[in-house]
Amino acid sequence: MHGVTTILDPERERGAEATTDDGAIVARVLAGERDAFRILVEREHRSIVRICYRILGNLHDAEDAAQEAFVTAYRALPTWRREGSFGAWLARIAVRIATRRAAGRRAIDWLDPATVEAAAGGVSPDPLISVVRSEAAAHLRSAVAKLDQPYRDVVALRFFADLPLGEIARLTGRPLPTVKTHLRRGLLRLREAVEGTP
Amino acid sequence: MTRPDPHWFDPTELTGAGEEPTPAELASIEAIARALGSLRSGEPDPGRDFPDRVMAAIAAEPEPAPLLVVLAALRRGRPAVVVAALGDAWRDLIGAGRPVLVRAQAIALLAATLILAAAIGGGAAVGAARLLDLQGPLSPSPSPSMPVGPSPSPAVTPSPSFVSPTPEASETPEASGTPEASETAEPSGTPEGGGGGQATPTPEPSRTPRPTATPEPTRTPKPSATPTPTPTETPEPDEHH
Repeated sequence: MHGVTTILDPERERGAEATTDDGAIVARVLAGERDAFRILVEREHRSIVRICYRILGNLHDAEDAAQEAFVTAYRALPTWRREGSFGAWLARIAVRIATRRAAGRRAIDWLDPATVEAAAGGVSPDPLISVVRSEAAAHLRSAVAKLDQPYRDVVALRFFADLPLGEIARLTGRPLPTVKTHLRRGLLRLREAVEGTP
Repeated sequence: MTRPDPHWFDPTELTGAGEEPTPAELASIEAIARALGSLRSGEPDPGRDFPDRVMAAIAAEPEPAPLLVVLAALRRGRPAVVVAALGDAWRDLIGAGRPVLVRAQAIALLAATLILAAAIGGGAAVGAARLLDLQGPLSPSPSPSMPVGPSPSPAVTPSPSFVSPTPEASETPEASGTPEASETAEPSGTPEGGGGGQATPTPEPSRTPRPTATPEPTRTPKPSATPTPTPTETPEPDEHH
């Protein structure tokens, strides 16, 4: 059918197909086929761990948060409304969990060499530069985690989960202009928070 | 470094919100967006066993059911989630293509909600009816012929009707079945001190009457061992409370 239909918006069409697939898989899980959830885990786990890593800056913590996100999503599966994609819904759960963990962290943490190298772009870094970058990244993550709601959600969903603003509007149930306003104000507050402290 | 361009932030995304950012704001927004973008560099992949770990955690979970979601939301005090779950259950019930088990869970949840609502509504109706006294008084109202009127003078010589099975009759006249309690001069100085202030000269507290002049061994809980009927200065009933 798709072969003869002119697809005006391929990404949107793909999203609609994914939603249909998601709905069928979730229905199987809800019908008692627990192993069907693995399909969703296999498909989404890389992006979810990536989102958590962007927020937490540590792979071990990111995997823990991602696992918690999957378990939380599994428990709340009957509440998924099948309106947006399952991945976006799961991303929102992951963002919530990861930002909560980031906000509860200590202000000073030991630097993980892998994190330092990642902050320097994966190249062998000058130790001083890499430490400064790593500290700046940690400071920025902490500032995002400490943003007030609804700014925190919108900024994190846009920049860490890579969701378009229309998807964020659908997920949060807010009008698109409101989401845009929240993003603008959230970014400006974030800028103030980052610049306001030494 | 590995920045996916389709998702990269463009400040023009913010236009159309009614309140356009100023050029200075745009510069700040672009700067912080670049900083946020730098957090994407060097993202590692999760371990290969990560899906297995997730599924192992899932295996320890109970089956996802609308009722569990509602119970968890109630436990956390989140009524919005409860309402949303009920709406989802309704959609599962009337929507097409839902598995039988999903529909059954939705029916169970909605039925449980209806029963709970009916129980709460019925309880509220009964409570309201009682409040409005539509079902008659629950207890006989105290008759005006039952004046309590404890006289401040302590009873030194209690009458035979003094020993009532309800020593607290002087405190709650409407609940006692001993109207003669008003006739007997009950000591006003109860151990709790709520009766009215004359506790020290009271020889006989209301809880432990110790008739000394006319001992009644069958009723008195503490027959006086002392032959002298002189009232003691320190009442004992604190031991009984």
